[in-house]
Amino acid sequence: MWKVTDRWFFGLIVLCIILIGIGSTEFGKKTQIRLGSIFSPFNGWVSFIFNEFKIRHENKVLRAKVSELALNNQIIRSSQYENEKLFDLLEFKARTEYELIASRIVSRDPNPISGTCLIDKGLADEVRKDFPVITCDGVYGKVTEVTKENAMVQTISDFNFRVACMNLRNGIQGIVRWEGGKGCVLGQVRVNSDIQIGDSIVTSGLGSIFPKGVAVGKVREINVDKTKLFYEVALEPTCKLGETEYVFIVKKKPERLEKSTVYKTQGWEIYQKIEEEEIVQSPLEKPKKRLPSVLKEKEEERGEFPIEFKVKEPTIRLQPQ
Amino acid sequence: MVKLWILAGIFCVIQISVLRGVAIAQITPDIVLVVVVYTALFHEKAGMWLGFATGIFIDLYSSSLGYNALVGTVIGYGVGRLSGRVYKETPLLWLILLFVSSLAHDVVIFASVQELSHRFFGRYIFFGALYTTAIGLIMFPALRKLNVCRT
Repeated sequence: MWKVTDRWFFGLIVLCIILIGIGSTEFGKKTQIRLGSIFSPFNGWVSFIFNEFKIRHENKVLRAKVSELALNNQIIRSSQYENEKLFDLLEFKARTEYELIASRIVSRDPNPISGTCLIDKGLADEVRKDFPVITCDGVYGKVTEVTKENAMVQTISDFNFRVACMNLRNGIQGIVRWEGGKGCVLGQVRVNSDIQIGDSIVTSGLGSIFPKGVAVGKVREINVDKTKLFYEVALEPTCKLGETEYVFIVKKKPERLEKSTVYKTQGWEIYQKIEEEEIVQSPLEKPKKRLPSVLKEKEEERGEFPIEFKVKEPTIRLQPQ
Repeated sequence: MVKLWILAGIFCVIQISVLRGVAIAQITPDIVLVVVVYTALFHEKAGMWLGFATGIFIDLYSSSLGYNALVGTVIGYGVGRLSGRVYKETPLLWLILLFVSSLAHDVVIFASVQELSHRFFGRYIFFGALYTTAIGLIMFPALRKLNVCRT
């Protein structure tokens, strides 16, 4: 029986050697490829079935990877955004003439009526009540409460916030407030005043809280109020309230209080000059009069004697325009 | 016997299509060789024909035609000749046969492609033979259970 098999074996060996010989020729290689392509669909199906499991596993792994990368991407984007913001702030700080304290918004009041927020600077950073708070874009609010580490800021979107403003183009004055659905509104502007859509509204410096010339908004809409005596000018605030993360607290300087303010009304220009006299108290001397606020009492306890200003009677001069 | 040929055909397709997926350090087990050795051991003469046929099929997708057929035929014939003289049900014998067959197969195939070196032998041929033997340890009892060589 094996003898027959042996003969077949040698026959097959010879066939294999012939195949090896043919395989090394151009014709053999082409034939090999052609024959191989006949079975390719089978290979494809088997590969597909087996790869199905592999692909499922890969899909799971890749999904996890995508989630991870998306998270990383978000972190990078957030960092980039923060970086851009900080760059803007640095640039603004360099070009402004005010003495500024940079601060970060720690939290915001969730109550939509109350537009207040908490910042990470307080008494320890020389922040005091009524200090104006601004951003690179314009007015943001003012400090209402101060603790050692933090300060509460009443933003421009608070219903009780008021700031004296004027039209940058012609000096027409008014008071900016926040009115719910209407948003930022410039009130107390006489009807028939020269005010146009797109006019820039800036702080007038009246009220002694905000310095003069800080941007507040642009005129978006002009309406007449119920009394029909005044315009109600809707403004588009320059400051992006919801997006703001970093603010500047404007530190008041003694020399800033000494200034002249010009009012233009009914053909007359009124010059009001306020002069201050600086009185520096020695820490050894007891203060002559009790300071009104609790804050000042605490400062006394710590041995810090704030600078006091004695305001002289203002001199008013009228002059035809 | 038909069952065996179908199974060998499926194994051939798996060998050339998806077996790279279970490669360890670029080394894949030779499951076709396991079937050839098993067939030669338990069905003697069929091993030679199966070795030749599967070898031809693998050759269609190899770089050089005829070598796999030649080695498959020789292994099938050799193991078939040996099977009448040994006790076939010893797992150790299966392993030795598989390991030696795999080594011989790989030496010839690799030698046909490029010059052999010690590093190449250790890296691919030796570990390839070990991997095939390990897979054979699982496949042999399974094939015995299926009784694919029943005529």
